[in-house]
Amino acid sequence: MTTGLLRRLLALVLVLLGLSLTVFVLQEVSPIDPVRATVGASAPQSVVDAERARLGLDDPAVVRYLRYLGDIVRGDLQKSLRTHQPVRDDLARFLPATIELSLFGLALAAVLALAFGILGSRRGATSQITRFWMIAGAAAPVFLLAIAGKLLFYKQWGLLPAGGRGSVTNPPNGPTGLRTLDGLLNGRLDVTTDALRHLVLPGFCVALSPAVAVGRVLRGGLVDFSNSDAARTARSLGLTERAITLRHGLRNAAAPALAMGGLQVGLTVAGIIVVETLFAWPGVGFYLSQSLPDGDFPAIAGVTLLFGTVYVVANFLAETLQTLVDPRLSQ
Amino acid sequence: MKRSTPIHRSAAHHRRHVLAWIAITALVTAGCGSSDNDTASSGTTSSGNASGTTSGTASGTASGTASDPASGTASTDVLRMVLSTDPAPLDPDTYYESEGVRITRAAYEGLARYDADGALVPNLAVDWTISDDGLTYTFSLRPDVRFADGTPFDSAAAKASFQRLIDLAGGPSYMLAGIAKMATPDPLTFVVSLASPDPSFLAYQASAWGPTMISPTAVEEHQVKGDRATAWLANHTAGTGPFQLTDVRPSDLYTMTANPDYWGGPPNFARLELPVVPDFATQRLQLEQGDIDVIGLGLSLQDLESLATTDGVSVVTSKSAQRTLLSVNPNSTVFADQAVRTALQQHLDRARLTKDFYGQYATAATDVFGFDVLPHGAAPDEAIGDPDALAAALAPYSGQSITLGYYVELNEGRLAELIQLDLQEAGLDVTIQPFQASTIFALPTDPTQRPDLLLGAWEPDTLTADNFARIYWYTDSPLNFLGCSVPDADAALDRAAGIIDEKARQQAVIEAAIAYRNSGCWVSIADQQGTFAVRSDLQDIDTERNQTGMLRVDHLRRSS
Repeated sequence: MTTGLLRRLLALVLVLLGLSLTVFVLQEVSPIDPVRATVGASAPQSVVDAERARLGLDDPAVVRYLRYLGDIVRGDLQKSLRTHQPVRDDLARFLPATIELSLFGLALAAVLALAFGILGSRRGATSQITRFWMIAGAAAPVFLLAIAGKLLFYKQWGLLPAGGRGSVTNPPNGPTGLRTLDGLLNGRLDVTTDALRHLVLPGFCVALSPAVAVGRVLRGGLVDFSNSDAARTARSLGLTERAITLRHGLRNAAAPALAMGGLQVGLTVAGIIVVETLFAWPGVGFYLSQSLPDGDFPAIAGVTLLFGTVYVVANFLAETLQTLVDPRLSQ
Repeated sequence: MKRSTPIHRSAAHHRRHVLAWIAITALVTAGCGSSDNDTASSGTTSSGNASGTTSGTASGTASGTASDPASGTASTDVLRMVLSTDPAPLDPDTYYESEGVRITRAAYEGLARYDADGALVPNLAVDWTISDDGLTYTFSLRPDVRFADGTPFDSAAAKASFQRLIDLAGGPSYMLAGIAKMATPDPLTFVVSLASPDPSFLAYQASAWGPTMISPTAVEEHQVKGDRATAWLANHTAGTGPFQLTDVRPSDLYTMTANPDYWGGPPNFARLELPVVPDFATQRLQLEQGDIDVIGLGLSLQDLESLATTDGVSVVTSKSAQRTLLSVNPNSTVFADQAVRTALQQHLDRARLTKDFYGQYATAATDVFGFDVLPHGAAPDEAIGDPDALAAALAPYSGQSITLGYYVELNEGRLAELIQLDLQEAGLDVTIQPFQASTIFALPTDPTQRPDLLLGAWEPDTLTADNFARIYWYTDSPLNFLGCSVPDADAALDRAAGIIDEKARQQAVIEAAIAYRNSGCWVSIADQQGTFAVRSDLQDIDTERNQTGMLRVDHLRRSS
């Protein structure tokens, strides 16, 4: 276990190093001029030159990269060229919204995946309906889901908001940064309800793809188990299908589903950039999408490193969970 | 008891699982809570009172109606204007972008401003005189004006505000770079002396990014480590304007509250809310549902035509200084020859392109400068639009590959496609290349990335020929994207800057304009109108010509 942990920590460092280098090289070869983004398009050349010198952009690339790495080690992700704030502070400001959306989306994904897996493993009409929705869900691009959701739930039925994180004036600012939770902790149920309403559509868009992916793996595992000797023995002992599925089938099918879940968390993080932009959700993904056109390298690199860390950690946790569910994998 | 198996299930099981599916669907909508629309902030609904609305024109005649607390309810005293991007820090002395101008211009004011027709009118200065040598400007300041923090606006505050803009040396600081001396002989007189005449100096006082008045007391109080309060002013305001920022949620919502002591009378809205909504389809849905009141940027012809017939929504137009321009790379294989550039300039059918792409919301360019800065016809730039002549001029380059770039943040992508078709008809092999903000603004200093042609829509910082030319056309100017140099034109422009006599200066400007035109480096396509999609119950809509996409919010009101 300890060896595995150390191995994965080393992998995390290597991944982050690789990511930082990749982003830096991309910045170097791109024609983007970040200084223009800072001082404005029609600023005179003298202002541009002064800003370039101030930012140290006249130094050789190697010097700048090493300086950047040194800053990262000290926990300094540099200042955003767009917001003029330390990237660390920006991430701290936008991260709670992303965490809230991710948690809501992943929780919804877990519920949907379980439903897809269990109902899809049955035979008959239920299975057919489930599989139809799984195929439809896998085929639907996020932007299409977003548009359909807005047209139906916002424009047609007026049930849900089209975007944003909340409509309540003066929501509480803490302590967690998660609106749903802060509303409860501050006795503001209106804030919690409002936050939940704003979470539903983007949360569903975040959830559907991983739910389908995990659900398919889970369904396959359950079907395999249903046809196994163990299941037949259980049936011969008088267990109901429900008991066989819930007590034994799920445990057997969980390991590959969890592995897929770990992968999907990483992909979800990538997809969340699109979802946040489509729903004007003020999270890290939205922050990144606003930083890209301006060539805001410190912000882009900061978010990339953050997402890279999440990806590696999520996979590590998924593998650990797999080991706990099926100890044979640890050998 | 009969054992249930996958093969032998009862109909009840089927029904139960179908019901489970319905439950899952219900779960998806569980967060709905109530059936109210999302209007906790705005409280507005889609029950706008106009039906089958048609286009209108910005009146340019703000009524100055005083706020009437009895006339509005909580649902109608909030004005919601959408932002497409999250604005950069909102310190007006360094802010130099488009979106956030809605905030900075609602909170801060300059000594002068433009009206809807583009005429300079008094603002915080009620009058001004210019010395005969064109070097000294004496501003008579408006009395009884206070900053939002309650401190008085006077000549000392004006001087401090000018000095701050100069000292911070941000993008807009060039507008005051020519100042040699400032004096404050009395609290209501502010005297500025220039080192040399600058034909744009007065106009800079009305620029959307020009010098604005910031409370020196607020700057002093919120200064940290000598930063001149730049950190604080990134998300607070301390101006004299009708609204001041009271809540900032980055990338989410900017809230401004009415300044009850505004010198022009209290605004008719208690709050101005600016939600950040990058997706235009969502903006449009929210406008149709009444959750936002104004969309001011990014509207295509299709959007405008559709919105003009949407219940509760009106399309409003205004004069603007936005010029659609096709820049020509003089170092391109095809366009190195001035005769070819001139043929492109004369025979690209700009009238048809304008009609097809902009419809009624723009006119084909007919003058070198498009915002009435010179008398119509003084520096003409009219096209013949003969495709055969264009094909003949391009015949030696038949089959040659060229790149046509366009600025992706505007809506001109389809116009680029129309031009591509025309040029392909004339024998060229045209590839379209979109440019992001950061890549397009790097072109002036990176010749290797320059396309053969570049399409964009641009406006000057202020409505003078000098300013437009020095930003987009002057040799090595900040946004001379494709690096064209016309020394004769530059010389004429420099000469004009030093001429005090109005007529003589205009003559020199005309000379410069014609020289820039004759270079063939810029093909003027169209002069755009400002277009807004607004809720139909908004009244007294007024604009400033130099701020495309901006509505004046001081006297805007909602009909009862």
